[in-house]
Amino acid sequence: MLTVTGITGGYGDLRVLWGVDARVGAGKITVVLGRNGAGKTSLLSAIAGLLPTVSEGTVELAGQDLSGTRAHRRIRAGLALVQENKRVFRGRSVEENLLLGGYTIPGRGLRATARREALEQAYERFPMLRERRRIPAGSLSGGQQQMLAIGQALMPGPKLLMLDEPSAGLAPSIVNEVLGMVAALREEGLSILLVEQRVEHALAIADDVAVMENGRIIAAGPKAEFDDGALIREVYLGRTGEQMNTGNR
Amino acid sequence: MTTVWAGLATGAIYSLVAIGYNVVLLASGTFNFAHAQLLMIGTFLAYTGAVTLGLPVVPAVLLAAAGVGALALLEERTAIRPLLGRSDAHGALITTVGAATILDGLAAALWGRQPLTVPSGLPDRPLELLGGTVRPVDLVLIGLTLLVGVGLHLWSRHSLIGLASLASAEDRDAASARGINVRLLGVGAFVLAGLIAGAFGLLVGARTYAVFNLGHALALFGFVAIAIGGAGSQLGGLIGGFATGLIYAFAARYVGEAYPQLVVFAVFLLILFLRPRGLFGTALERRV
Repeated sequence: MLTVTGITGGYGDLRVLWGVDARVGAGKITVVLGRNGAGKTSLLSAIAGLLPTVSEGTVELAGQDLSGTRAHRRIRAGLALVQENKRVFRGRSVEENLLLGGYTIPGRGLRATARREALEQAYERFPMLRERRRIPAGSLSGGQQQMLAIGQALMPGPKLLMLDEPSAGLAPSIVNEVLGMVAALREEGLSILLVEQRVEHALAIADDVAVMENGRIIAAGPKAEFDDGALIREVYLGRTGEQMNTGNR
Repeated sequence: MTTVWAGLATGAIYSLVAIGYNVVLLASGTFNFAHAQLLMIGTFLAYTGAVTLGLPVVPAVLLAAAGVGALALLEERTAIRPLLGRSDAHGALITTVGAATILDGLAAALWGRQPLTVPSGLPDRPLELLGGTVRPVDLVLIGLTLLVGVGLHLWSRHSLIGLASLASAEDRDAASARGINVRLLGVGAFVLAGLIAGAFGLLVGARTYAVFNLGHALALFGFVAIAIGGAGSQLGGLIGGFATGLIYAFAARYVGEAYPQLVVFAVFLLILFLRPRGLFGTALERRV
């Protein structure tokens, strides 16, 4: 569904991605793991066309080459991104946020039939949002804002959904709910690229795994290859960390 | 009541400047310091259309609107576009001031330094209305400004493009990630602000004359209007402009002809101290 090859780029002269390859199969979840600063968010930004500088590499979605196109074109082509920190439009109401999520849906105006249908579907998926449709998104709880952000991204009916740490800053019970929702979306046939700090939760729903370090993919493959956890422990704890862990036992 | 009419007519012009600031600020996040100068060029183009070319009112207004719209597009291309994507987010503060200075000089070079009388095409005889006298051109100016201000306010809240503009003002990246073409929105805002400024050139010129340094005075009072109403609020800018005009007119009448500016700026400072976001403002201010 999504094939990314050799992406190199960053912010002006500062390079943060070095020849990154990644792929997401149709109806699969690929989880990207790695420590803070490994380049995970930048990778999602580069795929969405939001990274300021991309000097090399290609992005292909369902056979369509999106390399070099700007963000709004990629969204129209079927990419969707839920940015980290629950980036909803805090000053706008819940309903306005959802309608903005459906900006690329064909049809003029807020009352276009297709846009209203997508809104109705979003409310069916998240009944809690319907109850709060008139209130500003900024006054929702963290979990509700995350649901709204996902609802927004789903409005145009994307082919591929990218989520950047959807569980960050949420209470443990809500984390399960959010990741459960991600798994349910896969059952509906959506392809998903998930960046997640909570390794165990993420692995529980992953089909494929990619591990990033210093702006490069250091390992990638089906989840089974990562089952023993050795590589992941090494990435997150480092060798020193592992020794310290052993020493404490 | 005559003082109220005079205040509202002057205030309408300040509202127009504030509306222009807000249109661009909302859609592109840029404060266009040259907007008052665009209005000034509009008065000259209206003069050229109505007097030099002898056109009837409607073609003269259309000519001014198209001319200033094109000029605004040129300003976006030369003063804003080259700065996009650069890490220094405040470059536009300088380049739009530069554009304002160039427009001042251009107007002085093309039309001279003497004020030119712009004919409104409306009867000159003042009307008696609600216990005061008001010139027909002022009444039309007040009415149309209200219409445009309220119209833009409703449009920004109840249309998809309007909402996209509010969203893009709040978070450009997030707006891009929802498929909004933020650059096109920014260009569109410049052109729209230019079209409005140009279309009002005839009415504004009929009240103020077409004069090359008109922009300075209007920019200052436009700021006061924005400070009172709040940056990013169309309704706030509209009310702020009228309020500024009324304060000016009443200060001139009751405090003394020499003091209206002083009183207006005292109110301006007071608002900055007490309500820095204005009465209707959103959190669009930034550190410089």
